[in-house]
Amino acid sequence: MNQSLRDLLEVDRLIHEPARLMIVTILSVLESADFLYLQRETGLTKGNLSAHLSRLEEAGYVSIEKTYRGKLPLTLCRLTPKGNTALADYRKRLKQYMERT
Amino acid sequence: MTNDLSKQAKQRAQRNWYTDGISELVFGGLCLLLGAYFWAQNSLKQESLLASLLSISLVLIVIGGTLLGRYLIHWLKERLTYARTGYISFQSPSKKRNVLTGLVALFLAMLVSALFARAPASLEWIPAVSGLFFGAAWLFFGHRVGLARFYVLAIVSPLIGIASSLASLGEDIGLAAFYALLGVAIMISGGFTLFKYLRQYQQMDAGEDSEGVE
Repeated sequence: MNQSLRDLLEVDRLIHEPARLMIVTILSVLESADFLYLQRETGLTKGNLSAHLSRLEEAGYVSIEKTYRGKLPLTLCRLTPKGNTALADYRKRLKQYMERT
Repeated sequence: MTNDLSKQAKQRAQRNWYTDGISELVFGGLCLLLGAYFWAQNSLKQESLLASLLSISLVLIVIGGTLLGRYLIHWLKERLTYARTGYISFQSPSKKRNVLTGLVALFLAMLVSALFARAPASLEWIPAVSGLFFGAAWLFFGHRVGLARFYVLAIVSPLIGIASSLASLGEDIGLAAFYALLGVAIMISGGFTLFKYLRQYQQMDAGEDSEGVE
């Protein structure tokens, strides 16, 4: 039991944070999504979402591309291969923990 | 746990694609085009050059209409949807899924060919079979994206098909009536959805940046 509990310390805390977990989960099933879509789906404020995306981008989990669709500015977010691996690892560790307890 | 959340996120994303009704409007338009095709085929004299050209152009109309429809959907979404509810792009289907889709399409083509070969004398039942096929497709989409209006279309499509067959309008006019009525039904569904969508969501101003990620 102690070992199982200690395993929890090894989960990726960057992804473990609920708002960021929402973001990477959404991005993991899509090729890309823009800021507006992520904001609607997560219910986060612009500032909050922006801060979380910046953290994920710094970690190399998410790539952010600023582009335009006609006159409309579009901020496209994608989960990187590193982010995908991190999410898969997070799932695996959490599943292992749940199975043990 | 997170797998369930991924499934939910995927379904929500797929539902988001149909939330504006644009795809239905365009698909309904394509059905109307097919209705016009079968009506024209029946109206033109069998020996005329136009009738001959028309009889071999169905595949071109379907492929061209599908390509044009896809372009039109993206064009309309760029102007109406992305500024309101955001932009998403889906992951390309896996090789396995592409193969499976190809096999299903091949099976359906063989099934239709076999049905034509076995009952060449009377093809008046084709609208009913088409209606059942469309009904199954709407049922599948409804289950996949979780939209109630697709279930309504899953009931309406076979009803239109059966009614068109029972009316004994003849092969071409039966198909023309089926596709025209189906197109109208789908366009009503799409139009009503788009009307509700435009009322519900405000468009972001063109100059307004959507976020503040540095």
